[in-house]
Amino acid sequence: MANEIEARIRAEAKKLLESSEVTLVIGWEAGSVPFKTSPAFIESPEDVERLVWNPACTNNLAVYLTEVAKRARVGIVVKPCDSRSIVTLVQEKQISRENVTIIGVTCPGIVDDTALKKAGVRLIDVLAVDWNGDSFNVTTGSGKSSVLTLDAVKEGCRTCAHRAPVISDVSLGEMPDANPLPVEPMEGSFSERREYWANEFERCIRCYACRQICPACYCTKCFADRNDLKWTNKHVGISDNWMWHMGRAMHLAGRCIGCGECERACPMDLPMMKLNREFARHVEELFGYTPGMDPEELPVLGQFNYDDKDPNGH
Amino acid sequence: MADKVIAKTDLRKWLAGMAADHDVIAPIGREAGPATWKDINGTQDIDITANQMVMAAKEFLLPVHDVLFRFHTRKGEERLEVPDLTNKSTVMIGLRLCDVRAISVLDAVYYNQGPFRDAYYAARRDKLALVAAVCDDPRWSCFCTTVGDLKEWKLGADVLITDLGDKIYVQPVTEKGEGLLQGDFFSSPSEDDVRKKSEVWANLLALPKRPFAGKDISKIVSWDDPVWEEQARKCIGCGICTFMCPTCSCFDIQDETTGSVIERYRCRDTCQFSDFTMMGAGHNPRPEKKMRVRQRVLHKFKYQVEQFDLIGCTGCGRCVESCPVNIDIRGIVSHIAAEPL
Amino acid sequence: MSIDTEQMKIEMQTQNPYLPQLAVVEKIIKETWDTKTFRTVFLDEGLRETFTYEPGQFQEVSVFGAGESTFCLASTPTRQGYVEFSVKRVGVVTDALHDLSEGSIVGVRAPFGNWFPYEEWKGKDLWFIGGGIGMAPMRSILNFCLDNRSDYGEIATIYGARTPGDLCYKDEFDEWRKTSALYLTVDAGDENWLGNVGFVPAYLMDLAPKPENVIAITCGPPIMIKFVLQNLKELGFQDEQIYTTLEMKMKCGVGKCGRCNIGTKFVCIDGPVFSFAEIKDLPPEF
Repeated sequence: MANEIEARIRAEAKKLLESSEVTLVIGWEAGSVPFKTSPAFIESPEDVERLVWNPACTNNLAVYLTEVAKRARVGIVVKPCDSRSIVTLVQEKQISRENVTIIGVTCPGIVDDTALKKAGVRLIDVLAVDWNGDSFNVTTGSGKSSVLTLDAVKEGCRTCAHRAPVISDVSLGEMPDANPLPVEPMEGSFSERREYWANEFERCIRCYACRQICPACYCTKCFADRNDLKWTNKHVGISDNWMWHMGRAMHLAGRCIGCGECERACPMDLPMMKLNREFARHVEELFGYTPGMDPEELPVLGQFNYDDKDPNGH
Repeated sequence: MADKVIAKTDLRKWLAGMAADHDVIAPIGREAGPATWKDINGTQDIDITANQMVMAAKEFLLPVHDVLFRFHTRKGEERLEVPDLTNKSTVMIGLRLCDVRAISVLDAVYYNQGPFRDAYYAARRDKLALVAAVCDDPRWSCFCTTVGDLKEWKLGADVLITDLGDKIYVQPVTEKGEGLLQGDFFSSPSEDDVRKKSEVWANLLALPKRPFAGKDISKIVSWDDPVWEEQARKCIGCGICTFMCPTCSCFDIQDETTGSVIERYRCRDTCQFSDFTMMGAGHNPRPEKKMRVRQRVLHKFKYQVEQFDLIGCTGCGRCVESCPVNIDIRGIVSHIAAEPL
Repeated sequence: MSIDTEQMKIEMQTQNPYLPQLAVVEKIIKETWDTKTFRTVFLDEGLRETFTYEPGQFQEVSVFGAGESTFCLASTPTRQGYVEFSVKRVGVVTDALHDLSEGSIVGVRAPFGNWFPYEEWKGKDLWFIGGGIGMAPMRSILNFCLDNRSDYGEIATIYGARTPGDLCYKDEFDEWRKTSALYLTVDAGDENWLGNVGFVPAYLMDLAPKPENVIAITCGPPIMIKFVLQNLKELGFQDEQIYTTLEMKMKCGVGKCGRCNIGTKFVCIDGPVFSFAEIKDLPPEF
């Protein structure tokens, strides 16, 4: 499945560049090690051979659009989650739909190095990670291949209910057979949850990778960077770390499409998806809204209806 | 100074003995994230050869929140209160040789550069002993042997330890280190122990070098190399590479007011953020991402080479491993050196 | 003057360079609509006597709670007992400084950085070419040279600002004119303005100093420096004859925090004063 789709991605990208419909195609290319890929910026038809499609294509490339799609028309290869980021960006008027040509690929889930490690793979031995139908083949040093099941996907993919792009100009791949885990409400009493999160937030080093990797975090001046109004201090400690993560989670409520890139990027492995999913669950319950589905729709927290439910029951 | 061995079952006794007159800190892992340096005081088991990523030693020498002083503002009683810098002597156990080297780089900046010595760093450094483990299981991102000479690096440690399975081979490097090897649980190594230890060391030295090893790119690097723009396009401008880096130590200084007391502290900052060099009036000497990408690489492979005659990169691989977009400093340096990765 | 740099280094290393000395704001002069000059005096009387610095050096000034910022010392060490610095209102700390009243307590860490090589300049003519707030570091060396008037040849100053109202140090113009030449220029005059109207680099060409035995010192906005430099070259000045001070964002002032490097040079310890011969070797990142 993979090679065929990879070939079609390259062909589509080539077409777009040759016809000058776009000046740039953003996709994934091979990384510096076999179990990683890296974002690729392809500007000439000869370079499309660099593009790859394999289970390590984790980056949500929509993060680059706010920078490049303002100036020119660009092509972009997206997974379903990435396509929902584009919908959000269009809804919030950060990019214009006309400025992006979307090559959408269906996706059974992605593996990142954390997922591989959890599956017991020694990363130093990995020679290749490929598709095997809707599962993954991991080839290691001795030439042996092991097949990983869909349990070994990156954290963001585990509960993903969207396996085909919601918006695209070219769509590739067949609908995979993948059963997402249900999103359960956060466990524990209020004080237990508070203790759990205090313990997690404590190790945050405030590198802001979660923000920088996130397509929805496009503010030109983040509240955390303001030094005139100090919403949060630079103090790395529980109080300001708490303010940072809760502030970010609140800003993402009704906007986060759950790609899980923040959690993957976090060098301290903070379980940010737990928080994002909880907020998403509340938004779904209160407003019946799933973010990133329809570019024509207004953002859920950017509108007001008289029959909106009040979470406090007033 | 004589080499010794200690049974792994006695490790705790050794640590507890040291803990009597030192703070003993070691990397303590948890299920998620890199292991962090914790005060163990001999009460915890440590796995000195764990393959988990460990936060850099700067976590101790330059804490993420480092109070410089407190200013008391009550009218007529204005005064500065300086934190007590006469801390207990500390033993860091479980560093790798790359971490030891990183401390040498930090010493060059914080201890020896220019007319000023950093009082806070110096207070911690003066009373610090380093017990370094010889790696027997390098990570996929490691390239220490490519950027330096481990035989020279190990001289920065006070004690070297090598895992021999059921025992640990212990070599004092300095007198300070020898002073730590007290107790009847130490014995003389057998010939077999010496042979095994030498094997581990030889294996580490044999870690394949990248083709750019030994090439001094400080002389050949081009300011306008297209690689800066290429990498900058991928770069999302987070600070992970520098936050995880054992030699990146740039900081910000901030004030925080609680009641009538103002705390001035320093915290990590990074050349990867555009605010880092942005001046009040709006001028920014490094406004573009490619300049910031270039700054990180050249600071290590050119500026520090010219300033201190040492490469500011220790090949620990933390930035390689953590970068969310797979910007690989080994690839950048290979490109500049015109060598394959 | 000989300085035992090794001895100085040892003394500095035993100090804690992050601790400010408390000082009281003795006088605030409103220079323009957005710039004030502050005169501070150390609370410690001993320090008031012993504290000295060199023209061109800088200091870190704290408004406790708001933070700390870098300012060049705009006064001259020939006038002991106080220091002065000029502050243009641009951000959080400068806002806080502007809100201070006389008698307020600030923190001062000083002096840092290198200074103008005034010893080497003895016997030469000096041309100071400044624009806007860039006049602040030049005021230090200008007043220093005027206080040692017999050491130098002709001294002339070209000073430009956007409008007459944007000129700082107006109270001192008469004093400067007594023993040196002062050429003022503004980008746009008003009904009372009788002086030159035009940019500093153009005025420099009108005045056309001859380069023989002359040192030119220029400080101001980057765009002004760029054209002043071009014009000085056209007038025949060599790079070694031209000096400036570079401005970068700083936090520590002592070569540790890592923001003010231009390639291998740290502006806080290798600068802020550079000759253009030195600047030519720096990467273009300032």
